[in-house]
Amino acid sequence: MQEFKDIVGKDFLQTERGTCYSYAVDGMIPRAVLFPGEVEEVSEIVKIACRDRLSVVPWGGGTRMTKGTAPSRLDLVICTERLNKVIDIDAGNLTVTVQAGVRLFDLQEAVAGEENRCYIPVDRGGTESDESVCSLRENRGCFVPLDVPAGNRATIGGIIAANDSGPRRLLYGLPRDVVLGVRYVAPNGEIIGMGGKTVKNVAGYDLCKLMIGSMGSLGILCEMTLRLLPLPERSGTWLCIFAGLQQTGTFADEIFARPLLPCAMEILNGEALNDLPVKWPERGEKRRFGVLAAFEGAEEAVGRMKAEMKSLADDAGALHKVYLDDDEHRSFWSRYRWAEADLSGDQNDAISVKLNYPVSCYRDVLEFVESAGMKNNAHLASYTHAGSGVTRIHLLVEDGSKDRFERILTWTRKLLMHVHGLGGNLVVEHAGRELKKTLPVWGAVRDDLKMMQWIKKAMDPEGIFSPGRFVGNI
Amino acid sequence: MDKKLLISALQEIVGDSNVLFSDMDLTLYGYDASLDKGMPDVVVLPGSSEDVASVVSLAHREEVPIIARGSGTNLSGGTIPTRGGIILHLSRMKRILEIDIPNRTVTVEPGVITLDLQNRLLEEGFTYIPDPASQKVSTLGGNVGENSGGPHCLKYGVTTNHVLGAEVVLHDGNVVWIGGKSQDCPGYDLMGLLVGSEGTLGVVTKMILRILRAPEAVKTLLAIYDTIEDAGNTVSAIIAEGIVPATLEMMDQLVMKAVEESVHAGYPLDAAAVLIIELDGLSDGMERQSQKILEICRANGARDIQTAKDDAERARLWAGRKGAFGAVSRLRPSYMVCDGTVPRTKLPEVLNKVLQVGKKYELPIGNVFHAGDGNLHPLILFDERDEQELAAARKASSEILKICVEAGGTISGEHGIGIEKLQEMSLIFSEADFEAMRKVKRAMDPRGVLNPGKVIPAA
Repeated sequence: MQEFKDIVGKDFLQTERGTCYSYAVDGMIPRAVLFPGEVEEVSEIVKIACRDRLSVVPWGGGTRMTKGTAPSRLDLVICTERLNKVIDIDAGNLTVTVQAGVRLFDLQEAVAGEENRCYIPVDRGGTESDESVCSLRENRGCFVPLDVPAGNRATIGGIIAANDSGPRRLLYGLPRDVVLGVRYVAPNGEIIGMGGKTVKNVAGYDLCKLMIGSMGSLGILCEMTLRLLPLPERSGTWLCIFAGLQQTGTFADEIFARPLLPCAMEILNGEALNDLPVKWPERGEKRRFGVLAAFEGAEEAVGRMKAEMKSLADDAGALHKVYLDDDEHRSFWSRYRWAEADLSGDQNDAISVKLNYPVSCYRDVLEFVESAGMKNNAHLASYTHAGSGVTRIHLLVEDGSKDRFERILTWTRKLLMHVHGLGGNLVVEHAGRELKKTLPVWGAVRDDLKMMQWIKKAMDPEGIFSPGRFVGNI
Repeated sequence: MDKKLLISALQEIVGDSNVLFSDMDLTLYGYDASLDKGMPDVVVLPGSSEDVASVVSLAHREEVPIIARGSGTNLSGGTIPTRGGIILHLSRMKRILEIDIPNRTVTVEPGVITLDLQNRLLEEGFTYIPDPASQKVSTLGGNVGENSGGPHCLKYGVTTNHVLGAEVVLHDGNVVWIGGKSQDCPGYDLMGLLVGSEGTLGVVTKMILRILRAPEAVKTLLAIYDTIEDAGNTVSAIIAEGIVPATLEMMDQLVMKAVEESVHAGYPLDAAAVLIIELDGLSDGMERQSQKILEICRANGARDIQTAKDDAERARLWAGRKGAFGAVSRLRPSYMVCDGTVPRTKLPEVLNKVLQVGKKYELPIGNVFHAGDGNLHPLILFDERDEQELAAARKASSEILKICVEAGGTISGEHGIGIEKLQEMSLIFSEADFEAMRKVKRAMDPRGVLNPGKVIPAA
């Protein structure tokens, strides 16, 4: 421990039980939590960890720490919160370079420039007021096209390591489309740099891609260069409420059949709808389905999408429509939660799963979810990123029944088998510690697991980085 | 393994007619579109994934180098057999296996010609984006191996952003599917690792590609300049304004002249440079955006701006751009093309330095490139039979790459490293970086039979 203290300074090494407890991963409490302030410090820490075979788990904003299987051992948590510098905003080149611990909303604020048209809600202090301003004046304000549920806390490093994404991936893509370069600390302590500030780069293997979504099992992300996009001129969202899944699907499919370019087509079931901070008559009716159809871009294009989608919604038999204009749209999406990122880690009757499947299968999947049980005495909210082939489900079984573990497990397996049959998979994004032990956390194992094992073994031969947390207990 | 035995073992797998080993055949498979040359021991034309698996398995067992390739249009020596061995030419595997419009995917074999797929998809109102200039002959397998770019990659991303999954023959001949029609497959992004690995980590035998609806509207502009600096400044200004067109291509006078002689695209011969700017997407707002671009062009000294009036005119402008490399080869016997890429703000400065390199080595340099990406393609013209000129061209090329790296860029945007740029790799990577890449290579190909000696400098 003295060596670690020498590296980070005594204030930034915590070994006290209380602190360590709040950095527990799936109930496993680390021996120490370190808060390095420089990439070089991370490197020095890892060199010692490597020498002494101490296991290391990196920690960003902590919003996705319930994802993954429980670590097989845990000695050190390396928290990136002090690696919080925005290194270079190059709006002219449409790139930004940041350290891993920068929080998404802080970064959005920084790249939005003088212009206030941005995605940052003002509720960071907990207040609900919204001071974001809309204007059409010419500006160079930009945004980072990443979309996650808790951007006020989630760090860039964590988002990339967890490969997190949200509804607006439909237009803006995934972390793999946004990350242009990374600097990370490898399991031997070496600092490795890949990619850079250019939007095209084929020099050497694309190890950036390997790092994205690797959940801290191959390296600790320290710096990233990301692509920026100009802030859209205008934006809007239609919330359309339908009597059932069939009408909802008709509406969504009609939009996909046209050349329109929505940025999100989010389908919500009745319980998810009722959690929305939007009002419409009949709110609370559980059997409804709804679509959040969002669009961002040039004023004329937004105007057209608003009009066409309205008439498509009417044609499909929308019961209610609510339109969120620019300011409301931004405020809404920045607060939108499609996953219970804030759930306490020990709650054993709740689970969040993410289903992935070919994009055309969303209706089939939703029908299956509706019929797969768990409707009685349970809160089941589903959020479908239509057009991206992803459904997220949050299930809370509140009845205190003795067999609820068993029922959740059976339900999860049923879903997994169904989407697997469609060519997809299931990942448990959140579950209580006890429940998780029995769940297929990373879904069905595929043939390519052996390639992943080869890579893990080559890059982390001692198995010290997040051991046991990734696919196939890598 | 004795060469005769190797040949007969291969004949047993794919049949006599699909194994080539005459001197002429071997010579024909000894080069690509770069300057280097080599000589394989044998060329094999597999017809199926099983054939590929058997051939790779044999190569692994006998420790014979194996080099998978498509049409050989790559520009960095990636498919040159530097240590003999087996050339695995995938041209017979050219079926489009499935066009799945509802799931926005196609499944193809690696030998499908890029443009053939694109033309086929247009019939359905869809498109596969990456469009390298060689798309008329390049194969999709080759595009995946090289992570090819192209003019339309500015807005939509390069090959890696459009590949969802693949059937891969591993070093030991085992066949594995990675990725798939579903996005977000749990686990490492193996597809992302494989794309651009130049056949050094596995051989792709089927691919699932992402397709997009063809844009509703397209508008193509040609901006004409009296100085190349003005054209470069325009590019930086457009991007800085936050406009990301579908394409933003630049061509200088030397290239235009060559193009006009071969393609008659209608470029102005007295201009120093032109920009081809294309907008696509919804028709709404496109007019206003093109007005904005016109303003930026004029503010940066554009002499004239023309708009393609119809599809025929648009096709002519593009024919000139896509035929540029070929046309330039009329001017001198050989050319060497650099592929350095820089942050877009650095473009004017770097272009200027490239011109100076040409002057210093007294070699004509033509410029035709993906300006919006900051991806330069200076074409150094020379005669490779003249050893002094060849040496000068190599030096000039290396110097240009150094300039790009000093400007915060990289040595290759889309052409790959192959063997041509191995030396320049150390301009951007440390020994620790190389070692990280070597670990991946050793993990995926422990005996080093898959396209050995490429991409990463030897330890």
